[in-house]
Amino acid sequence: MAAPAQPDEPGGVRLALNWLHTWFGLLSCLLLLVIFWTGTLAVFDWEIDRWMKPATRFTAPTEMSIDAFRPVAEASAPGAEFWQVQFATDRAPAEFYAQLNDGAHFYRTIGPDGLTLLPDQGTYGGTQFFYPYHFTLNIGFANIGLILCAFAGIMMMVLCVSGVIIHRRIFADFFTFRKSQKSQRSVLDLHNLTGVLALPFHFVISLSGVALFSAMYLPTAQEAVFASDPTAFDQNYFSRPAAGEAGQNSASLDVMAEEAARRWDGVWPGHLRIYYPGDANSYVEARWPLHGSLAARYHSIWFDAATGDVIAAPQPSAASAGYAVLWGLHVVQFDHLTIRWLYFLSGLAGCVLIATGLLFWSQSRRKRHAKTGKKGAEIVAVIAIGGTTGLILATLAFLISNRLLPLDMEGRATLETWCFHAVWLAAFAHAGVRRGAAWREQWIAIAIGGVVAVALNAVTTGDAIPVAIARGQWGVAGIDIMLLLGSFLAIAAAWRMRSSQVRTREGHAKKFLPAEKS
Amino acid sequence: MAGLASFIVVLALTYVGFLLLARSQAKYRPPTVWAARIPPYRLRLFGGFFLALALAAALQMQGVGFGSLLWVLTVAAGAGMVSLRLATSAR
Amino acid sequence: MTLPAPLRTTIRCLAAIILGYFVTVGTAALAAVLMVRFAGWDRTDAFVVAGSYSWIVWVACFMWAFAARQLWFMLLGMAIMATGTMAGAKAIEPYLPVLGAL
Repeated sequence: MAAPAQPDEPGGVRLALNWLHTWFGLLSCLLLLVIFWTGTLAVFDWEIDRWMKPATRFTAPTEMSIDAFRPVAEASAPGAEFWQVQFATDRAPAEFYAQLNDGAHFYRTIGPDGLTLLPDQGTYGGTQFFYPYHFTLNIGFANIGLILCAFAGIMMMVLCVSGVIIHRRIFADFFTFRKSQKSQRSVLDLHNLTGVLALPFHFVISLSGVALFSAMYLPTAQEAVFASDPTAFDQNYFSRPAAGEAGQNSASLDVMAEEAARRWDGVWPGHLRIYYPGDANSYVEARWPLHGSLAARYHSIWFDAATGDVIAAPQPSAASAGYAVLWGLHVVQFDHLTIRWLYFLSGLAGCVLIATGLLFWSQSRRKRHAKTGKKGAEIVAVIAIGGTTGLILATLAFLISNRLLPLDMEGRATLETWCFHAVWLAAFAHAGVRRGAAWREQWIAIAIGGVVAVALNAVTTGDAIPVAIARGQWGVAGIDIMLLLGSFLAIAAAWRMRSSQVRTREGHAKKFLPAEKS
Repeated sequence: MAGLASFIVVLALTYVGFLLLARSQAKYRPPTVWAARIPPYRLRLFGGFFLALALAAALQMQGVGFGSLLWVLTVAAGAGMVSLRLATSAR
Repeated sequence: MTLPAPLRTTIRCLAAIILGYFVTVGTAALAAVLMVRFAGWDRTDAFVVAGSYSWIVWVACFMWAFAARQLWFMLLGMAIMATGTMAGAKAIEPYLPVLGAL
């Protein structure tokens, strides 16, 4: 069933929605590919951090005294608006974060003794590059990135629903994957299969992704709901301004953490944040940890920094479960390695879904466009190459540059992101020049890049896979293993493309040309 | 480890469930005499039963929240494995 | 009178994106206000829950915008829903309890 030229053509609702699916899919595909790929990587963002910051590869003790750490914090971030200590988890050592007076951020990992800050690792890593890329594209200006990502999320839901409606045989599609010689047939089968199988995941992940920032996207609705009670929006969030004069912050921070844990039936806080340190109005927030449960509850207890008394301890309402679970499903901060891996695989399925949709658009029009002199199919084919293999290559360039640039270099973290974007652009250019041959060449480049990244990790940090496993650094070893596996699959893909090209040359060309109509 | 164990159990059950559901379709009926005698609705019934069993196992082993999430994600993996098997098996 | 097909398509796209957004805003506001009024939730919970799930309404508007055979009916329907829900929310809102900040 080919898409009609206009939704108004006779043929009914299915054809009209086919138009919607085809063209809005094309409109948002590159954005969706980027969001799904970075989101898939962000599932293991802390592990990527360990890989990219070798000095932080140690198993941290979960307990540390913040009172003992306090002088270090105040010496390294003097006059900070606030500073916080994120307690160590199974996935990451303790982290120190401060917001300085000029609005700058200050991130450091806390050493295994709990009393020192490790030197700057010169990278944004997983938590500050891939993770924010996933929902802001790292475009901060006027929230453009955030708005684009929300639109992409809506589009993903629209594509899911319209895709299901235009499909007649959704049940049969569960089992339909024909390893056909005609690549167009296989591409469409793969599109339908990944779309149908992971449909609940794709829909819920898109909805929850947009939902996380609902309040930001619906300012007029917020105004209407809070018109006669504007301050109630911060019902669950305590704050007070700085007094502007110095005060005694003598109360023990460790006692506050213990008090929070006592009120939460033994659940240790995820982080402790000290607002306006040294000020008379200073206060401390103990935040509920996200790694304990499916629901992501952003809920806290506040203490007075001078006396240590509890200022506010709002109880999470029963209604808050209505969104905490939805959020938790998206941010996957809970400790469940199996489900984390399933999220990773489902995210990859999403990438395959989007890429095959894009490929199908281009393949099914290639012959027709070539005949009529239209450029569309060729341009989309270039986007498909740059958006899939190009994006993987850019990711590898990010990892490889991280292992090659000297640690004490000025502006190292930014240079890594430049490497990412430069290689990505180059991949698009390469696809534009080499056209069909670019697929195979980029798969080969990926295979080489993956092995190089693993080798560089082993040489520069000494953590070859067996060594990393012996040291208990499963996150680092896991990334290396995935890189090698990816290299292997890339070689397999390149090999398949080679053999299909050979067969084409041998005179079976007709078989591989796309059919005019499906 | 408990998570991995329950994943394997749920995956095996959904795999069997989806294989039965697929076999209920004329296209995928095995060309044996005994299989031809089983009515498709019974295959679907048993297929659905195995999927429900997988859900019950997931809820029992992982609790309501993680269990249902694990089931939803594993169902996709199980069905994907069935379609891969059907695609690669010689027909 | 029938508009040319490309123009009709443009109208559908604009209706789906722009009118659809305002129907979403209105639905979120009205649903939140109704939840405060009748379920007794506080405004923050109600607004966040209504806002989180209201995006499904936008998706539905996309389907409607492209499935509709009569454009004027679809346009009028979305416009009435967008303004009606918002007006309803604003009419009920003054009667909700005032809690203030924490």
